[in-house]
Amino acid sequence: MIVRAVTCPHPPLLLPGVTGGPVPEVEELRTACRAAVEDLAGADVVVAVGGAPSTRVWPVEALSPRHLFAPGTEPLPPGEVLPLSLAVARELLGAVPVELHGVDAALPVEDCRGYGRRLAVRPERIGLLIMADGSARRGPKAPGYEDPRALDLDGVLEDALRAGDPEPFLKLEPELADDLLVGGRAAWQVLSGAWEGRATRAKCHYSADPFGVWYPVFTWTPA
Amino acid sequence: MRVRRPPEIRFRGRAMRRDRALIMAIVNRTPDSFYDRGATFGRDQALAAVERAVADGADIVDIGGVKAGPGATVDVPEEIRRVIPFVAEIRDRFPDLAISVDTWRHEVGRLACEAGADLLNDTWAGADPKLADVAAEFGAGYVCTHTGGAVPRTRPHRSAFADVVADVVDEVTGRADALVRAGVPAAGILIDPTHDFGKNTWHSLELTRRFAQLTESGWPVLASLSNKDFVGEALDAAVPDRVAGSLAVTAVCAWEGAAVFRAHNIAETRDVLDMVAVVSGRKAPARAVRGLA
Repeated sequence: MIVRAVTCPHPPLLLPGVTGGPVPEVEELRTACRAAVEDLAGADVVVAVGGAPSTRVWPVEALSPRHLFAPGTEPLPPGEVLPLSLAVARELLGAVPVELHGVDAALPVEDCRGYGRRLAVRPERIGLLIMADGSARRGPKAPGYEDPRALDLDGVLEDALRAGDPEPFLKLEPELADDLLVGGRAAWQVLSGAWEGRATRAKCHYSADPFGVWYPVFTWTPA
Repeated sequence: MRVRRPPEIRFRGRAMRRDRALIMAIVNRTPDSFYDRGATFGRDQALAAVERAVADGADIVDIGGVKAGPGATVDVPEEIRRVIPFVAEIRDRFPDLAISVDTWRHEVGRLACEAGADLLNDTWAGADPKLADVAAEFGAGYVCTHTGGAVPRTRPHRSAFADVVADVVDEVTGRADALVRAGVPAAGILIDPTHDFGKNTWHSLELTRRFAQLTESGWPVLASLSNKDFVGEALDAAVPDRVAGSLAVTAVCAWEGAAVFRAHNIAETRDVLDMVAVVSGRKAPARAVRGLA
């Protein structure tokens, strides 16, 4: 059973050292994510779910993709590299026991929901960490420039997060999400399946777009 | 690319930063030096120059009382009058700043160390052998230079070297070794190829081109390039028009591992050194977010 759910964004900026010197906007986001992740304390296990090249569980000791974004002067060790979303999850969780579940970023909506339902029936007390960010097309300085649909779509998703309502995520069409560079469609739809039919108390830790990408940080607790 | 862990540098116990090359700001208490032309001869102007240099990122100030080139005689009492009270005042006002004194005379060096100087910049390559004794006595840092045997305050005339880089490396590393044997702390010794001193423009360009041979000696290398004549002749640029050329050679020598840069234009030099340090991986970017959100 899912005892709590947290949703956090997964920009490369949250991997250690990627910003070089400290960047205040990133540190504020990191602090909010860490506070949210603390809400998962007390679960038997944290299951982190994030978009990935394929749907499978990744080994927790896999390499960070940090060097893919911020190559340094050290030679790269060989080995499997975590998807970005799961690497950020691992970074935020620190020493907390975790399963790293990648869901194919192109997984159909119903399959995402089914994945969530299967998590929900597991017997352990699971803390669910959903790695997801909103559109990267929220303005002229955004990574994907501006798309007039982006703010509306993120608005619908934000209302759902604030209301603790998992249903609206299921209406997020994969094609539109891809168009608007939404990084969390599949993971949020896993949340929809995992959290079906529950009354929810939602807490917002952070909701802003300091770099043109919407970063929501929320905790859902059963009401 | 030559990214190597820079050696530890310590002047009279004062450990220097290692995340980028150090900047030694030139502050001349002279009425006639080639670049500033007396702008900091007066005490108030010199003090303001030190304050500005520190604010702009200088790690060391190098205080000199005698113009490098030929000119009016400056005897020992006059050099002392120009330099020593000022060193004492800077020591008092800037307790964390490393202070270098540009002199070849042991009388001046001794009083400077007593007044709080950390480093003796022996620009005339041991012309006064007793200067090394002063450094050993006070545990001061020391800059080993190369002048090709030139007498202080003379210009190069028909200087010739079979291999100027080899000549420089032999002389400055030999002097550095001798200083250590004489009791000068090794961590405070810098070697300086001394561009333009006893050398023509071709020689200085060759030293710049093959700068790695100096850094490979293992001694930290001081590069004194700022607005010098080899930059001027390379670009056919008068003294006020040499900043870009100076910064270009600064970047080249920083890339090749120079440890300290003696410079006039501190803020610009700091930007160049920070940039080279970031490119080489010695220092992280200040703020990298583009494409990573």
